[in-house]
Amino acid sequence: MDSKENDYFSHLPDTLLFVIVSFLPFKEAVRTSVLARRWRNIWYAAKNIEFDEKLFVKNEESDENKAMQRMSFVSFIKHWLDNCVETDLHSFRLVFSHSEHHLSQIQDCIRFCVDRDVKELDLNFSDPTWNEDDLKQIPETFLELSSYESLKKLESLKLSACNFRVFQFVTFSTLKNIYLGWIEFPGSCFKNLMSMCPSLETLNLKRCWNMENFYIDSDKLRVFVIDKCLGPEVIILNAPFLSFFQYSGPSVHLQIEYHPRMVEVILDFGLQTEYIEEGEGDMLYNLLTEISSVRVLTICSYMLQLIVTADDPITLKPALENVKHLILKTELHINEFYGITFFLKNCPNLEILTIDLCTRTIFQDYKPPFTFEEHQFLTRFQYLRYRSTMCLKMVNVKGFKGETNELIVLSYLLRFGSALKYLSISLSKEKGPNGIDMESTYRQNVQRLTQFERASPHLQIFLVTE
Amino acid sequence: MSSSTELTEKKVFLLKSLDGVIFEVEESVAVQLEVIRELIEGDCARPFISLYNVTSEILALVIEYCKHHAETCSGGTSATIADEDLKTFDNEFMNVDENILLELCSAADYLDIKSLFELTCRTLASLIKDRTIIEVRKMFNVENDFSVVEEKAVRKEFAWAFK
Repeated sequence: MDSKENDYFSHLPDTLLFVIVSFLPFKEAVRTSVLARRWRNIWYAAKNIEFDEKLFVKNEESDENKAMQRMSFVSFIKHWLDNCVETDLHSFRLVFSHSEHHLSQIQDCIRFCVDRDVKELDLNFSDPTWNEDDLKQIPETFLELSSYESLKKLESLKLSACNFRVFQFVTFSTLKNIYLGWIEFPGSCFKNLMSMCPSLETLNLKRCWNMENFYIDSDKLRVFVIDKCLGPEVIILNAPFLSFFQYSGPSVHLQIEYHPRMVEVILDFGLQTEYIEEGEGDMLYNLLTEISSVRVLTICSYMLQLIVTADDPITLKPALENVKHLILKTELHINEFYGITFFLKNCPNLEILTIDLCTRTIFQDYKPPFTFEEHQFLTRFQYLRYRSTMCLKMVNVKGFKGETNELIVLSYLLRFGSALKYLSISLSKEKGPNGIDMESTYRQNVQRLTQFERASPHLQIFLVTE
Repeated sequence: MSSSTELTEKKVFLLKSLDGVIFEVEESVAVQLEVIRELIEGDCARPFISLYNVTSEILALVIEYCKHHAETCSGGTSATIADEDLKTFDNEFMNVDENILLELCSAADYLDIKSLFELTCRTLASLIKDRTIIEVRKMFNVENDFSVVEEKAVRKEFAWAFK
């Protein structure tokens, strides 16, 4: 038997190899070209097209070299355009920053793909060096997405840093997922978007600007993310099937109709740098009552500081009975302590508490309506044992340094956490003054935790290293 | 006129493999093979259907696959449970050696069983995906008929994909 006969693929027609290749990610499909002569051109049947600049352009190179590498990236795209035999593609992804010198080729390529009925389109022209936390940064965008008519079979659309105009006269009846990043997205566009995508299930807006207040009324939407967008002051949501909601950015007036399907909510007003007095505490309080069905809740330092200004800063009605996992984005500043007790009290069935430590915006000139004394947290809680401390099974601390307030909170949790099984600690990467490596100090502080009085006989303390 | 007399009893069809083995299958299983459905509809399924491209070893597997799918779909369980069940079955079913997998793929193509064809192609793709070129060649006995120079040229042309 010669070796040719042993080749398992030899009985199969090329058309079958085309199908196998069409299930491969693009890079892996291209790699099959080197298997054997017969495979040299099979990869042109790939249906999941992915052109990622990162595979061609190396950041550490000089600008001149990068321009050269970009040229070879573009010529590979052209090579593919000239050889592609597929009449219908499944997905098309293009990642290309600084595409401004190649606009016409890029437009050709996009048109070619959308004409082949792609179901997933992902065009990313953003620059990885852009700082998403710097809300003043508005990127320059060059490309205009056109030929909407041929996008009618889309199921998923991801666009970053290109011009996107939404017209009312097109309906994307199959479109389920939309991600828009670094895109100007004025109010009228938003309205049109919702009405032309009747099947929309996932909407993810990141760093969009020029947005206006909006109201969403949808019985299809399941996931909604607004991440560091600029413009809206009021957001009202009525989406009975929504299960995941995230808001990150400066403070806005958020209003969510209560629906029992909500599972996870992230509320992060970390980009709010000024203290708003009027009505903010009540808005936050109402928001919490509207999401009382959630099981996983992430809240930020702003919430922890401002919830105290609500009309009833002690008892949340209804309580967050379903919350099993609470994530606090906090600095464990004394101004946040009251808020922490508020959530421990009002999440009576809490099982996992994650304390995500990092420097946060603390409103120093703001005075809570109570006087905080040093270690008040500790003394107050000698008498107060909330139900949550009895259900709590696990505490995670990220960015641990072992500063006084961290030790106060942890000693409280250890002292009353009678069901606590795991305490997992990951150390802060922050350097000390003059760039001194602090790791050994932080490690020693973890040791101190082992000496604290503990209510649970089964507690294990882990130091997590990455 | 054939169907009116047979309606009361369970319809069975006989499939004959390349090596002459005859399999008896119920109609619910047979119609999953698009090729056979056409023959049945065209009344050309008697006395038996000869499948010239499929060995008895592979045909037995194909019938097992179709049987399980037919039973699960008509079993009256809820759609999600049936889905889970099929997924588990499919995963175990794909746990065969590469040569069998390719023959199954080819048979599914010939017999026009869309779900099995897609399943085998997907499985083959996943076998290729996580392996180096040398490993793929070894796994499927692919003879590298490029000369050293030629192979170097291909690798150079698509250098980015080999990093």
